[in-house]
Amino acid sequence: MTFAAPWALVGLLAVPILILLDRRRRRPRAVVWPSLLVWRAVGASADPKQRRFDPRLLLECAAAALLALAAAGPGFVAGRAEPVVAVYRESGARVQARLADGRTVDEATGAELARVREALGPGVVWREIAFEGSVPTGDAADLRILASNRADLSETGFLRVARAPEGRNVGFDALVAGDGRVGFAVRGPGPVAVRIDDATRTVQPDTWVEVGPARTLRIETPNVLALDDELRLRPLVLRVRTDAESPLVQAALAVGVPAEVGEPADLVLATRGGAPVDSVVLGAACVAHPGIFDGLFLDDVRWEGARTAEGAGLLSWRGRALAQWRDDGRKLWLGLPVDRAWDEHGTLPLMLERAKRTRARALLEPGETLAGTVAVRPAPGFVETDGIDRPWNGRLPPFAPSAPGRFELRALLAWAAVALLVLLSVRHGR
Amino acid sequence: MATPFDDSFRRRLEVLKRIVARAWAGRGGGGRSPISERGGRVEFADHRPYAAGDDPRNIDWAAYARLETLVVKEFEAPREAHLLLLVDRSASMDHFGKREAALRLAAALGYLGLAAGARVAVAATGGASRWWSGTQAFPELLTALESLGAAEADYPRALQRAPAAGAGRRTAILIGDLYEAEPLARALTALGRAQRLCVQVIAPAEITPPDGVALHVEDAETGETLEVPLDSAARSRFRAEAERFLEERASLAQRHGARFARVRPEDDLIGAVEQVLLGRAAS
Repeated sequence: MTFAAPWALVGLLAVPILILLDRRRRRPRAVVWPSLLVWRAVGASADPKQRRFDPRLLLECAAAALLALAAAGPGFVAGRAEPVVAVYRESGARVQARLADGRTVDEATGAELARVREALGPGVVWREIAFEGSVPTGDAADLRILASNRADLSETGFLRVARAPEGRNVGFDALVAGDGRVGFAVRGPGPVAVRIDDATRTVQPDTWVEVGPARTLRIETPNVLALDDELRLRPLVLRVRTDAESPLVQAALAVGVPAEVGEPADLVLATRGGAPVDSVVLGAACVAHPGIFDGLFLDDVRWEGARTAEGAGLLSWRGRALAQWRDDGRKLWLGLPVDRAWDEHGTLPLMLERAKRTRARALLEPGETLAGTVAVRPAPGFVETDGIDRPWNGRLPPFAPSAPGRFELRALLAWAAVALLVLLSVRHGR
Repeated sequence: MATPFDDSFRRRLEVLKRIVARAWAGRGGGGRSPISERGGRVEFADHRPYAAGDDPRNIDWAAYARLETLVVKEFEAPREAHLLLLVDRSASMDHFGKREAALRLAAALGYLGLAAGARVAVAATGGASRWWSGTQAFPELLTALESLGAAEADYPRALQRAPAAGAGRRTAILIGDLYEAEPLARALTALGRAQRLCVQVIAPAEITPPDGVALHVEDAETGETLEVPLDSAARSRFRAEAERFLEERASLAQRHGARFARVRPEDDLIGAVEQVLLGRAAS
C-alpha cells in the first residue's frame, strides 16, 4: 500500500488521543456520600466487562482513523517499481563513421550512454534496442533515449517538446546525437514560453501556395512538405477553415500524424473570410514521426517583424522557416520554403516537379526578404525540453517513473468515515 | 460554622407558634398541645391508714364517718408530657444541609413543646440534655442542640443517654436520614408505649445519581469505598434503589406503630413542622 500524502498519517494520533481522553473521562470521580446503602446495589449489578466496552469510543476511533487514512490517500500500486529506460540505439554503417577525435560515432554514443546510465544510478532497468533505418517505437518505458547519427534528428528540434498533454510517453526524452552530444527533455508542469529568434530567409517564389479564400478546402501541395513516417518528405496536406468570428488567422501545422491533432490534414488554417488580418496565430502540432515528435504546439505565434501592407510574415523555428503567410484582404497565402537540407533526401526535384502542376504562385517577388521574430508559447500541458545544442552537464533533468497503476482507497475510506460519524450522531441523539 | 438558629430561624419560629396554636385550637384542644397535659386536675389514687406526721388536710373525714378509723387520701402526682428529641448527629447528616435542617426542625419542635407546657429533652448518641420546662429554657435547648457531638447514628444508645422521664405522656421524635434500619427498629421497640414519630431528612440530591461516568464513592461514616460505573442502567438502578430505601423506612416506622414524615433540607421550616406535626405535605 502506498500513500499520496503520508504526512496525513499523523492524524492517526487522534486514536490514542481519543482513547486517553476517554480514559480520563472515565476515571472515577471521588465523592463522599452519606451512605453506601444505595450504591452497593448499583455496584453489584454492574458488569466490569461491559464497563470496558464502549461502542461510542470504538466508533469515534474508527472514524478518526478512517479520516486520517483517507487524507493520506492510500492506494494499491499495481505494476513495476523500478523505472525502465529504453535506449533506441542506432546500429549499422552510419554509426561506424569516425569523428574528429578518432572515435567512431558508435563509440562516442556508447560513452555518452554510459554517462547517462551512471547518472541514472542503480535501480534502473536499462534496455537497449538496436535499430537501423527507421526509428522503432512503441516500447513502454519511463525514459526513452534515442541514440542516432541521423543528421536530421538534431535539426528537427524534437526535444523541444517530448510529452503529450495527456502525459503519454510517446516521444523520446533524450537524444544522444552522433557526435556525442546529449539532450534531455526538461519536464515540468505548466506552459513554457519560448522565444525564437528568426533567421532571415529568402523565399523562393515557387514555394508559395495559394490556400484560397477564407473557406474550407483541402489542398495537397507537393511544394509544401512534411515528413512522413519514414522521415521522408511528402506533400503537405493543407486544410483551411473559415472562422467567422475571430479576426485572427489561426493555423495549426500538423505534420505526419493528423489524427493526433484531430484534423485530417497536416496544416489547418482558419481565417475570417474577407477580413484583413495583421497577425497570425499559428497552432502547429508537429508530429514528424511518432517516435520523434510527440507534439509541438505553437500557440499564439505572432509576427512581429516586417510585413507588407496587406499583412504578411515569416514563421520560422530554430532557424528554419516553417511557413510564410500573407493576407491581402481577400485571400490568405501560405508559403513554405524549400530547404536545401531536403535535397539530401532527393525529394526536392520531385517536389518542384509536382509544384509546377499546382496552383502555387508567389506572393513575394523573388529576392524579397522577410525577417522578424516569432514568439512561441507551448500550450499548457506541454513541456519544454532542453535542446541538444548545449553540451550536457552530466546532470539528469527531473526524472520520475511514470505512475504505475494505482487503486485509490481515499473515497472509500472517506465515505466509511462519514457513515461512522452519522452512526455516532444517531446514537448520540438517542 | 454558622449557627442554624439565626434570626431568620427565630422569626419563622414565632410565626410557627401562632400557626400551630391555631391548628390545635381548631381540633378542640382548647389551644393546648397534644404533647402537653399541663393544667389537668390532681387525681385521687387510693386510701391508706393515717400515720403520724400525715397532713391532716388529707384525712378523708367521710370515710372516718363510715369506717370509724382515720384514713388519708393519696393523690397521683401531676402528669406532665415529655417530649424527647432524638437527633441523628452522625457524619451522614453533614451532607446536603441535612444537619442544619434536622437541628432547626428539632429546635422548632422543642420550642413548640416548651410553649405547650411539656418537658423537653434532646438526646443523641454523643450526648443528651436534661428535661427543660417553659419557653425560658429554649436558649438552653438551642445550646444543647448545637453542642451535640457527632457520633454514629445509634438511636438505642441515644435513648440510654436520655434523661429518665417522669410519669405522664411521652413523645419521642427521631430525626435523621434513617439510613440504618436496625438501630431505628430497636429504638422504636425500646420506646415502648411512647408516642413515636420518625422524621426522615433526605435531600433530593441524595437520591439522584450525580454526574460522571464513574464514581469512587466513599461512605461518609465508615470511610468504606466503592467504585461504581454510572451508565444509564446504573443510574436507573440507583433511582430504583433509592426509592425502595425510602419506602422501606416509612414501612418500618409504620410496622412499629410510629408515625413517619419526610422533609427536605430545603423545605421551609414552617412547612417542615406542619409536615411533621400535622401531617401536611411540605410546600
